[in-house]
Amino acid sequence: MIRQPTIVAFTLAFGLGFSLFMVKYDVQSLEEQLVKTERQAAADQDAIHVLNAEWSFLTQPERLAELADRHLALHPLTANQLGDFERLAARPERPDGPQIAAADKDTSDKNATERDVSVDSVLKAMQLADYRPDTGLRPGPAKHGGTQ
Amino acid sequence: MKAAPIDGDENPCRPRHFLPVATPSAALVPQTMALRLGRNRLVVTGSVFVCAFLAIGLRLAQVALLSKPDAALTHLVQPPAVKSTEYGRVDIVDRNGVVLATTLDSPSLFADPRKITDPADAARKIAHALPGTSEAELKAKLASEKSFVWLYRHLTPTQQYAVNSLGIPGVDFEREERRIYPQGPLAAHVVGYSGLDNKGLAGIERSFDAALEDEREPLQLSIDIRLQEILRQEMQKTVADFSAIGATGIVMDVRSGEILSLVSLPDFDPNDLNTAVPETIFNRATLGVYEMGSVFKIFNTALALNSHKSTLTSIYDTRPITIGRFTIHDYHPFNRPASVTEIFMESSNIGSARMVMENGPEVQRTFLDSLGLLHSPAIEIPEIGAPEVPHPWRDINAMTIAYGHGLAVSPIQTAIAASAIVDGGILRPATLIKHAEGYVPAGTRVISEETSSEMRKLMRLVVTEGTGKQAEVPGYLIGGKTGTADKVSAHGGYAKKSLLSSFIGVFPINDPQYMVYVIIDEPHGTKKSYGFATAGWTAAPAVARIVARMAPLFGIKPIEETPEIHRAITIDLPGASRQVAEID
Repeated sequence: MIRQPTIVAFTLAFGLGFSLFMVKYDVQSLEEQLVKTERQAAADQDAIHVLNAEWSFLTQPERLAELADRHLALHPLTANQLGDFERLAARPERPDGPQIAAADKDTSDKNATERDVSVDSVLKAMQLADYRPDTGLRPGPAKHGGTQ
Repeated sequence: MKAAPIDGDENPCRPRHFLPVATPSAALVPQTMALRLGRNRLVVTGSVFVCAFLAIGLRLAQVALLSKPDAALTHLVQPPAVKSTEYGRVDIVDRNGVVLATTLDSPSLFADPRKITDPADAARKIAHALPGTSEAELKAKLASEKSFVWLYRHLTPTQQYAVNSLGIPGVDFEREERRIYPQGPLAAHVVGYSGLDNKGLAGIERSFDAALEDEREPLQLSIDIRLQEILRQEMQKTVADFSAIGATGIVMDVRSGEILSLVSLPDFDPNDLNTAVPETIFNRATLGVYEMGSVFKIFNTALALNSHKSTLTSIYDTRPITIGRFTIHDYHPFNRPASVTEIFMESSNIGSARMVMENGPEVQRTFLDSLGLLHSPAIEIPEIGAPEVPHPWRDINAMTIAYGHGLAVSPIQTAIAASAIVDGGILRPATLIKHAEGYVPAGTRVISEETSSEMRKLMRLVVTEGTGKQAEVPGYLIGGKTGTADKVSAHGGYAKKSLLSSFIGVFPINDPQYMVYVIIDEPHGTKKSYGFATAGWTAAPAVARIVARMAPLFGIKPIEETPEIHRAITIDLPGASRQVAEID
């Protein structure tokens, strides 16, 4: 006759042993995974290293110029293409001017408003980005009134 | 399991433990005592064990569950980390991080000749797979008695595949590293190159040899590869247009002293040193020393103005000066006395010589020394040419040096000195290594702020009215100075037909930021230049093209010449023989 504590002890021992092995195998597989991941990371780093060199080789300015010449209708930027908002002409007082009215009488007001809003939002964004807060271009409240 | 006591049972066959138990008697007492004693001992031993196991268990629980892992110990239990391939040498990158030099794996082929069964056959096969190798040489190597011979260093992947597929026993690959320069010849003279064993042999590769081996982070140069391409292209165009033998160009950030671009033509491909010859490897910008010609009038005029011996309106005699057998002439003779402004603008040698004599040779020498023109410049590449300084420094030397003859200096030191003249009169060290954004190194004052401002006005005048008109780019307010020097011929004396034409351009001249310095070695006049090979026709237009291309790249907006700016950069000469300040 086996006594109760013995049973408990044996069960505990087996249980603990089993879970110990489980944990051990878990750790082992995790370690394998870690090594694998690290190896992968190292391989990726090597690849990045080589790719960086290749990128530099493929983006030689001379080659890019040649490719742009062959495939794009773009030309190098020139000085007259650079400017700032100060050099823009002032916005007309009323956007629903004669040209727009002549082009489309019925929707001229609506068009004008939409266009106006988009220009306003661009200007606002530029001002928020601290782009010359004091240009003469900022649409004043009086001008704004005209669009509504 | 107690057997029933049977009195008088003497059966010998009865098992021993069925012996009738005697009724409790005095004889039985020791037995019970022994049992008790045994049990007690067991209990004591057992409890000791229980205590021990409990202690171990508690300690385990404490270690495993409650205490935090000890940082010093954790690394012991971690599996060894797999490291990425350690490249011996770090990359060299440009100011925007574009790789200029990197280290890549490249296998080398070696053989163990003792294992080669048929050297002749192996040599033939390998020579076929690796074009450029000699079969006889390979055969000699493979037939030798050694146990190790290099056959070919640094194979490309295709070559490796070709040799591998030959399947010759006894030959094998060794992983080696090789320096690769992805931008080819573009920055060759700055980056330099390294040899077969990755030892730096020239340029940054050499001067930073040890650092490149030790550092972990790439070395970032001040060079901008895009600008390098612009400069190189325009220099190549100029060399081709005027059938020159070479050229060099420097673009410098005037304020920080960073060299943004440095080109020396002809150049070489550091990936293919077999085709490089001394002429192409020679760095004209730093190693070459030249008599710079009239660009030296920048320093001469700065000295005259700074010492207050002359003002912009001082008038000098411009009749040719004769000293002994030597006569100083002018390229554009005035045939009348001229002011300092005119002398600078029209680049008068005679006027410059007269100006320097007001200060004398000793003052001139000290001044040029303070500009760093009399000793080797400090820049981070080993190819540095020492200036050729006359000794003794007599009056005649002073007069010729006034217009840039008789003292040979390298372009880089001329650029550094000129940047000091335009940048408020403070000489700052130049560098090929990128500075932090906005960092301005400390410098030493060489001329006053006022002289610097006057010099800028004079340099603007050269472009608007004088010899450098072709350097003008609308919107960029370039100021500059032309220089056309006669080169010393091989037989001694000056060769009239071989010139060194140069232009130092600075923009925007009202607040100098960039200097573009171009030197063309022995240009020849063309139909387009009406036969002229002088700086105004060769170097000045090249500078204009470079500025026009680089300004949009750097996001420099064209400047509208407002009245304030106009006043700041032009010279008002009331009562002068000619209203030179006229611009509009």
